[in-house]
Amino acid sequence: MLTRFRDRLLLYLLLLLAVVLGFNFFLVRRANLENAHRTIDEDLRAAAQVFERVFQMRMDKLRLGASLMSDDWAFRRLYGETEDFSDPVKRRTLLSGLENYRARMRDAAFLQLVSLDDELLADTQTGLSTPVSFAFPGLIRAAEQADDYTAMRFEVLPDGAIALLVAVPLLLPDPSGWIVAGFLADDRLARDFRNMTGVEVSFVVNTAGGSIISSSSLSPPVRLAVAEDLLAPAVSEARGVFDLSAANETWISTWTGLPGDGTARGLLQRPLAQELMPFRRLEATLHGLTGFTLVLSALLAIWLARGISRPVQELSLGVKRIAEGRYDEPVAVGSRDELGQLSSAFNAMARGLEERDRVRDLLGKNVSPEIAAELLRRPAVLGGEEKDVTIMFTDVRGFTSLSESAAPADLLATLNEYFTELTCVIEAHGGIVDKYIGDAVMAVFGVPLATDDHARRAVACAAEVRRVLGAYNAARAAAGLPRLDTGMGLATGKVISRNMGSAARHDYAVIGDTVNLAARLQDETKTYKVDSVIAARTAAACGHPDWLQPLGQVTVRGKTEAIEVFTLRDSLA
Amino acid sequence: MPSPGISISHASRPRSLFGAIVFGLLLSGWAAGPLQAFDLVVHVTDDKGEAASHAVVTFTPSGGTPGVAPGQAEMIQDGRKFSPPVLIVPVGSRVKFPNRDEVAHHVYSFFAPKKFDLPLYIGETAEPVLFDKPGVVSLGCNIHDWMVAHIYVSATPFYALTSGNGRATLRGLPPGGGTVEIWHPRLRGKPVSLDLPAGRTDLEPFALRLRPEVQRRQAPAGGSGVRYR
Repeated sequence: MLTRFRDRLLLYLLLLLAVVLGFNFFLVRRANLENAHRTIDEDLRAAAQVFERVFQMRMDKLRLGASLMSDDWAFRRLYGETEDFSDPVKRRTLLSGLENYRARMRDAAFLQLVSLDDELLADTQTGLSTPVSFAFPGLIRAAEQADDYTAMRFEVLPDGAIALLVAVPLLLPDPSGWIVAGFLADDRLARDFRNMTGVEVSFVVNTAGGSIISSSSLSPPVRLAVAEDLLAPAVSEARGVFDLSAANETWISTWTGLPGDGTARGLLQRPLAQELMPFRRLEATLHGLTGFTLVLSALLAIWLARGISRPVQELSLGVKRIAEGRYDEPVAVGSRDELGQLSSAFNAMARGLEERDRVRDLLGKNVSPEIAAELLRRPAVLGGEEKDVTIMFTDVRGFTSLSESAAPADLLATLNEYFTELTCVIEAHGGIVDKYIGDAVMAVFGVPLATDDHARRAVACAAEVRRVLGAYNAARAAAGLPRLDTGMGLATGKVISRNMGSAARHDYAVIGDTVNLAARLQDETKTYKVDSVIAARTAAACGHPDWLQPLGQVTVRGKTEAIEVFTLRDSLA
Repeated sequence: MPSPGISISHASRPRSLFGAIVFGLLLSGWAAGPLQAFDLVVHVTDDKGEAASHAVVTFTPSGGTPGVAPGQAEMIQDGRKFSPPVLIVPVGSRVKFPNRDEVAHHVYSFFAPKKFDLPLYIGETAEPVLFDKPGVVSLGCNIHDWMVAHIYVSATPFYALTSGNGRATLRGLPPGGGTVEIWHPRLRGKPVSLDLPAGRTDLEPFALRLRPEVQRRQAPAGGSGVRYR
């Protein structure tokens, strides 16, 4: 699984983006399809109107031409004087006149002259022939019923072609016959219309067997395919706008009526694909945009994730370093944001920890570990508490002569050895070195952790010091070095322990009369020529009278009352 | 009802009471039914039952048509219209075409029984036209499409024009039956011929199948169309 934050962020972001973009794409596509359909629908409806309008205009033009012709004096005379339509010369003349007018009316494909009895007297299509019945009496009946004695409609010619016919009366001045002008709704007309409106048009004849395309602007293969579709009644009878599949394309189609008896109709079509083309381009752009956005987002996510994970990794390494006690490499602060603040805070913390460690280390070196721990554990405030402790003072005998005979560096090395030995013993017995004063050591038993047996521990410590120094001095003697004899003063009593000094600088210390007594008793070792002088109270609290022997009464300096003192038995070595 | 502006000499009518009596006696002597001359009221409608005015009704006696006396008549052009719209004249009559408009007219007839045209003229300069064959002459003006009129050239002295109520009265018809013919400017085909048996002095109202009127818009006089500046 993805364990890295960066990968997860990348995955989530890309997933979210993909969903959003996908949904967006889906919506756009659906809207495009609907829009394309709507556009085509509107186009087709508009085209149907244009279609009607165009044909109306064509018909009007045709009618106008035919009307002008019927009102033309020369033609009236020609017709009026023909009288006898069986006379070939007169009929030829009439036909010739008709052709002359057709040449004038450029829109008319043909002109016909029809009698009031629906007899076709002359026809520019067929030339001279014996009069026959006019094929479209319905057109004439419609004209007779119209106010202006004019009718226009689409008719299907015997050969299946569709023609637009206009019938106007020949008024001399009464209706004396009919001029029928027509133009063919052929492929060319359909193409003209397509070029004008952008809509494919087919002229369709309704027959009992289905709808048949008479002419069309469609290309031959499409025209064939559409023609097959038209045989289905569902298509033939469809209303409104409908879809037609032909030649692997969807054609949005609609029927439009043509003036007439309904036999001829127009089929208007537009291919859906053509309308969708701009939308396809939009979709392609959208695809590109989607890909671009995903890549950009991925890069952004990687950058963002790195921006988060790198400082976090740094911090993690920093934590590791600190766990290993390496404070010398701070975490790089790369920004001012929350992570930057965290890094800064982390570095500050590291500095704090380093300082504390250093303090702890220094404390450990300057005071006993117990004091150091106590100092670090409790808030550093001035003040203290009264405690019952045993103080032990030690001092090197003949240090002055020793310091005179030895080099200072050697003296310091010797003292350090001595203090090390001494300190080890003191700490081994639960005491703490309160301070080193020149060659003297002040040790306290019973702080910072209060114990009931501090006197016993102190006396046992003194005995151990005697033993350890004995061995130490034996080794020095063997090396030809002078002895370091030690005097020890022990006293038990109340002291004030804790931080003392000024508000800016304070030390951990114990003070009190007991400290002074212990120091004085240490002095007394010289008087008694013993290595230790122990106050009566210490001796009593020790609980081991067999370890001690009495020295007698002594009045120490600065004291008025004499106190009984003891020393370690000689046998305790 | 003769329209104003028409003056016809009804030469076919008996000119005196004596003549009428003699005429009547002569007829009643050899024919069944009324021996007296009678009036026939003919009621003409269109196929919707509406009164058909301007229908020409003629009567041709079974016993032969008495001779008609040609007369003179006028087909006036006034206000760029023919007046009257339908004029009946006995065969052989001359008709004058006075133009009282300030514009010239070109009166024509293309078909038999009388083809003629009076090229552009104003006033009374056009020669009277002789209508010497019976039948219907359709008149038009070559330069005003809406000007249409008809002259009915009658071979019989018994004729009348239906008025606004679709009725026409043929007066002084000889007894003995005959043929009543009805013609109308909008009639399709030939005039309708009805048999009036001897002794009958009335006819059922007759409905004609008329074609719709051709709507010809008259152009306004004194300029029309859009002015440009």
